[in-house]
Amino acid sequence: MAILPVLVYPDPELKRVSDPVDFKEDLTATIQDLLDTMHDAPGCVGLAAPQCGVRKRILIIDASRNPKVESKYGLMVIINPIVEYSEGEVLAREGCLSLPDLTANVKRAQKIRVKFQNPQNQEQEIEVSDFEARVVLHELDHLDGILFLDRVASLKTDVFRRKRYAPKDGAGKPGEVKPGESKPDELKLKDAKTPDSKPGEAAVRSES
Amino acid sequence: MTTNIVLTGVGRDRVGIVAELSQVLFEFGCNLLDSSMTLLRGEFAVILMAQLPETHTLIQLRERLNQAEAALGMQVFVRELSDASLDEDDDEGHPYIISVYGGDRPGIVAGITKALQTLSINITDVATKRTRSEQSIFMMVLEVTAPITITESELRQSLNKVSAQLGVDVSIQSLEVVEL
Repeated sequence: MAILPVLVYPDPELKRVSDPVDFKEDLTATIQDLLDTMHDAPGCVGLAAPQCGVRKRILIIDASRNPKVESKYGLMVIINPIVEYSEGEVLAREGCLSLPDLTANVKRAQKIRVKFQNPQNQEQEIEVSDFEARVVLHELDHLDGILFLDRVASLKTDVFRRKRYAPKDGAGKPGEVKPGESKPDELKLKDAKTPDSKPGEAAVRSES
Repeated sequence: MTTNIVLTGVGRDRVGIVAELSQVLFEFGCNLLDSSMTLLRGEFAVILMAQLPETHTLIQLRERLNQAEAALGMQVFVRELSDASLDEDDDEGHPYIISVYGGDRPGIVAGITKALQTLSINITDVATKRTRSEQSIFMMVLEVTAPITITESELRQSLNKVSAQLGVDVSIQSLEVVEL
């Protein structure tokens, strides 16, 4: 059990596409570390493995940690998720541990159906809506190297400097952020540019 | 000590204004901070904040920009900013997006924003548009922050009252803030 440092943009690792989990290796320790890391961050309702430098398609979701919203499923470990169906569109302002100084208005589907595997490699299917759907979609984006800034249409009206969440340098919270933890090398920076074409996909997806 | 400045400028729109203006500032050693630049019909408007290098004075920058004005086709105004004016206020409040639209007539902006002011609601962004058809439509989208003491129904009530007086339609979207 360990609390992993959460990577903060511009760490190039956050822009990489994560690999599918093939269940050939034991994931118990990795999943436990991700759970510990999420529970260490106050108010955190979701964490994607790549936010901790683990390039695997694993999400930890627990919408029930937000007392103000309804959560259908509570704590979930979601592996290799695929959005099968989505409908509706809701605008809300999101914040992210990996972008501690910013919040942005992001449109997400109101309701989604997601297929995935649980840690026991069993096929699962869930239907989530509203806040819980937003959490899943936000974290799922991390698996493809997409940050909420890729989903923003207008910097003027959509992006806001976060006021009351993190200290200005973004590095003040122990166990939450450690900028510069993984040093960007040239190769990583080059690769980091590949998922940049994703924002176009957002429009297509939200229309479907 | 670097000096912080704010620059405003409006000029006839053409391709290359942003590239040329930012090149002038870059060559002068300025580091850009926040900015907002937008096209209003045929006029391109710029508001930008920058840090001036220690090696140059505001007067020198003004001289440099005066030389560039003709080529840019833009009138540029620069003034110094205090450190305090670079800080953002803590807006401990609730965000809303408000759309207002209706047949054009004078007083829509004044009426709606007066109602917001009365409720101590701060406008963080506003844009308006008037169509050029025979029956002009006026449209305004506001991004506001309301004090937590103001409820959504109070806001609705107040705006419904003014919009009825003005003969315009108003819709309010409350923005949920989600920490992920």
